[in-house]
Amino acid sequence: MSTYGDLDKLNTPGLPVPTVTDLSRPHWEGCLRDELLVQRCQDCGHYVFIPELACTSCLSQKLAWVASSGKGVLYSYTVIYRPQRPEFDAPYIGAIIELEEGWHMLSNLIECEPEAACIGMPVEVCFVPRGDNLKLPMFRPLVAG
Amino acid sequence: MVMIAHAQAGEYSYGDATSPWTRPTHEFSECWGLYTAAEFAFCAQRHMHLYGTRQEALAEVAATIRSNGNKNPKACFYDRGEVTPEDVLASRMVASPFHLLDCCINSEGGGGLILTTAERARDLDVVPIHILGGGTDRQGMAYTRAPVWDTYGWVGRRAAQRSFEMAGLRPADVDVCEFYDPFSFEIIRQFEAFGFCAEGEGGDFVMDGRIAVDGEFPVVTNGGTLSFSHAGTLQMLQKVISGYEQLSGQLPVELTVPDADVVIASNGGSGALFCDVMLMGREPT
Repeated sequence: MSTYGDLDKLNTPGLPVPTVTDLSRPHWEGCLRDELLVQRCQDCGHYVFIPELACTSCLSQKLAWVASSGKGVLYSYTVIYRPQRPEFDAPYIGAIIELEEGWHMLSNLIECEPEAACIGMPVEVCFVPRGDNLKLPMFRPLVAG
Repeated sequence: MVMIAHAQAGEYSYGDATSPWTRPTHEFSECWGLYTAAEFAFCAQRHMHLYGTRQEALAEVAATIRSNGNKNPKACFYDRGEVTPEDVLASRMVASPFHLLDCCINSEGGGGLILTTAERARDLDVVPIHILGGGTDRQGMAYTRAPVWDTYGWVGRRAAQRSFEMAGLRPADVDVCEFYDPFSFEIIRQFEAFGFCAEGEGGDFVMDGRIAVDGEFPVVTNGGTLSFSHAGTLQMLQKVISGYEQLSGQLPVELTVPDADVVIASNGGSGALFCDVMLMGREPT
């Protein structure tokens, strides 16, 4: 998969396409508009991801979808040489992103050489087509300025 | 009397894709090309960043356990040769920081154990081993949300604390550590999470022979999931079975820890967001 910025290889036929649920649909629809949406508890302010029916901090069911800035840092990563399945173009970088609102998500770091990846590096979201009807929120190094 | 058993066959392959049970189909993990090794790698990588844990420490763990399996006639990788830390570092990278030899194997197999009262056990033609304490620590469904180290890194700690409280024992009282070993780093993590050493010191703790069969805290004496067997859910039960075999003197003599009275067994791990612990002993406490 396009660790190096070859976007064509990020949507090779056979790559897994997320199965959207009623619960997660707002997130995926946001991605189609190039917006990174996350749930936020209207009672305690906690950010909730992955999508849930209740707040994972206080159990309130008052969750609202809000937009993230899409900026954050690389919290941890792994350079994957043995692909999950052959359609992934290895090596590629699995990532945990810490968004600046303080929540975390799994993703891929793209447009970054494996040797250049380091924990704490600033990243920003970009939306990459997957399958016929979805875009995946991936992250790339944030260029200063 | 309770029998606990599991077996697995016909499910794995060395095909183009990773083993089916390593790649959950969840909508927020599968699409990134992740699988079990990558999920656990996130935790190891974060630990290395925070504490300076070295790749050589992971290799020491893998070499020690795989060399144990080399000596166990029941292990899948029996008689494949001693494994050195250099061998581990020279093996191909799977998902950094894990080289191939840092990762558990695939296998078929089965096993089980029987639980009964101490009173009944005395009438059986076996060496009974006592359960001294146990605990579970479950922190949600694995392979869906990110395994964030700050949240999940010490998973199993409360299970270990409960186990030690029940048994009236401390980590220093443990003779053998049958820790769950899906990946080499997890041994380092468990020494820290269970209170054998301070947070961040696990990498140094496993060096200099301390975790060898003749060391202070021998780990995974039967060869573990790195070289004995990895068969469905059995590999978790296998830790208790290995502890039983260790305490009842059924392992080969070169893998037997002399005068061992107390074994700690565990399963799960950081990437899986759960970790269960059991203490077992030759005598009830």
